[in-house]
Amino acid sequence: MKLLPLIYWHAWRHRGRSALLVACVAVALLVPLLSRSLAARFEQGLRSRAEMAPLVVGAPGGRFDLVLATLYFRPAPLQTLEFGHYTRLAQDPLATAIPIHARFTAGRMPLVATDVGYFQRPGVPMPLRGGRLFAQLGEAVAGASAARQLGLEPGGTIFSDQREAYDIAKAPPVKLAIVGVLAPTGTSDDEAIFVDIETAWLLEGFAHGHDDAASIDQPELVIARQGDKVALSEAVRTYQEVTDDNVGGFHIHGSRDGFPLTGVLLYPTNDRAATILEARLNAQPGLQAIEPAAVVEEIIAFVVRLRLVFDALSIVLGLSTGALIALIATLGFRLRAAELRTLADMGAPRRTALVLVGGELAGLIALGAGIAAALVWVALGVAGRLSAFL
Amino acid sequence: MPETLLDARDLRFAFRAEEGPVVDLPRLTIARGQHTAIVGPSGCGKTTLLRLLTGILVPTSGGVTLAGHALERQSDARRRALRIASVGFVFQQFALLDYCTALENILAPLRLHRAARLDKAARQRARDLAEAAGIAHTLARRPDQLSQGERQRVAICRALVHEPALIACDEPTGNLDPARAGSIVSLILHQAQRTGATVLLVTHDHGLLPRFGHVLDMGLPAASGNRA
Repeated sequence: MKLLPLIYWHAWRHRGRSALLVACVAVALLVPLLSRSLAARFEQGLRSRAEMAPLVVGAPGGRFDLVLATLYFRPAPLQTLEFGHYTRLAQDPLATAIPIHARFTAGRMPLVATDVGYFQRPGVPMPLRGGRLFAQLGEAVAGASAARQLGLEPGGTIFSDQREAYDIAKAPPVKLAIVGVLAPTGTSDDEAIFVDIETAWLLEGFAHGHDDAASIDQPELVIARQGDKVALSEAVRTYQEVTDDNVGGFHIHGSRDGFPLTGVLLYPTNDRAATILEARLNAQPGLQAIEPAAVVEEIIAFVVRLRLVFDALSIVLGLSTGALIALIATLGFRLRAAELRTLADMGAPRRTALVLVGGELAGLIALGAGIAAALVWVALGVAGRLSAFL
Repeated sequence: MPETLLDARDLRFAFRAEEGPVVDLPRLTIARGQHTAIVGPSGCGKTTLLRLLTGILVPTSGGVTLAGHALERQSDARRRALRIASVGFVFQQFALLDYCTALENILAPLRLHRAARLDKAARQRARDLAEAAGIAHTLARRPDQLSQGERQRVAICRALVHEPALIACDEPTGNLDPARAGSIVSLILHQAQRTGATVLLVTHDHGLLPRFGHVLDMGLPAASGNRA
């Protein structure tokens, strides 16, 4: 222990060389540690999310896209499913079906339309941090990260994002009332804002609200009247916010069965039911049923191949750093030969040279490793905030 | 009769077997508290003799007894332990640790000596030595911030800090003018007298010899013992 200050003072006196060694060690360790840690968390995040939904049903198309859109709410070029498919699946006793429509955004966060069943899925706890679940059109529940980033609290509001800024024929943004905020789950749910399915149709333009048609007496807004039926012009102003006063004025045009859905999450009652449903649904034209876990494994296989590239890079970095350490150790003994001989002449034990040179190297390597570990920790934290996958 | 600190008998040393001995000394006895100078021309084996007498080198034949321990019979580790406990060195080129302050250089033997205590008292002793050597104001400086004379004084304080029985000096005044050399030797002898230490000093400066009670001249045909 009495030699420790000598080790420290020597390292500090030659701090340029010490800093170089620490930096080399830190970089050499950072690359494999970070790539492995990120990949591990990415894999874990993907897997755990995929395991939350035994089956996903969607329109035919890319399997990756369907999983990314329904489970991770990522924008994907995807054909939509008709709501009628969900209606039929919901009546099937073999499974519980939950609709998902993730086509819109609010505050650039995914706006996910579903039903309250989404918050009561088996084995997927989604407790509220405050407020309540949505109960009517225009109400929204914010995920933990979305609430934090957008400053949302129960009682607050947020507009849905305008999808087509220059197309006035599209439905305008709607002011959503935040009625609840979810506790953090560490999944993509944290970044989403949830509304009910009918609110999505409002955003699609299949539903709207306006003053009672019978009370509109401006001739330019009335196309035709026949008994108690009134045909109104597109120029009639629609409500942009659902309130207790105007909720009765909202209505749907067209057949619900034809309205779009991104997909349906299916929770079969047992493994047998899952097999039957998967086979039956895949036999139907215009439908596909996939196991997210299997799709995710394919994605992970790609990640593993990518990790091999980083591992190869790490080996090269490790070898070059090892060579640098060996060089510094050799030079250390050579450059300090006179000093070490003096200490030996004074009577220092034979191990003193090893303790002084080796101890300094070990200390610097440990410092480099510590810095690498700290950087990995910080990077994982930042990555975790940037993406719900991590 | 004064107690013997160092006793060398039939001491011979050769760097290579096929060459003649660098040191060939029939007998040398140094009592505790005695101050001895070893003189002689360059290459006559003065430094080698000092290294033999302090156990850094092992004689080809003969033996050295230091403080009752026959050095040639000791292991390398034991000789080192004896050295750090009993001998304080002043090297020719000072050999200070360039990354330590003057104070830490003075304290260095206590860091190397496992049994030595590096406590408040030891630090105070180092400061007192520095005060006596006139370098108290330089204790926080590193060797490259010291003059040659200050470095020399730090090296002397380092040799004394662990209160060794023997102070071995290898041409400590080698590059100094006579006046400064005289003051350095005075400092060594004064500090040694204060602690009762024995001094063994290698020099080629004959002007310093009157200060020593005993002189061993290695330049004579046979360096054969005490030449008081």
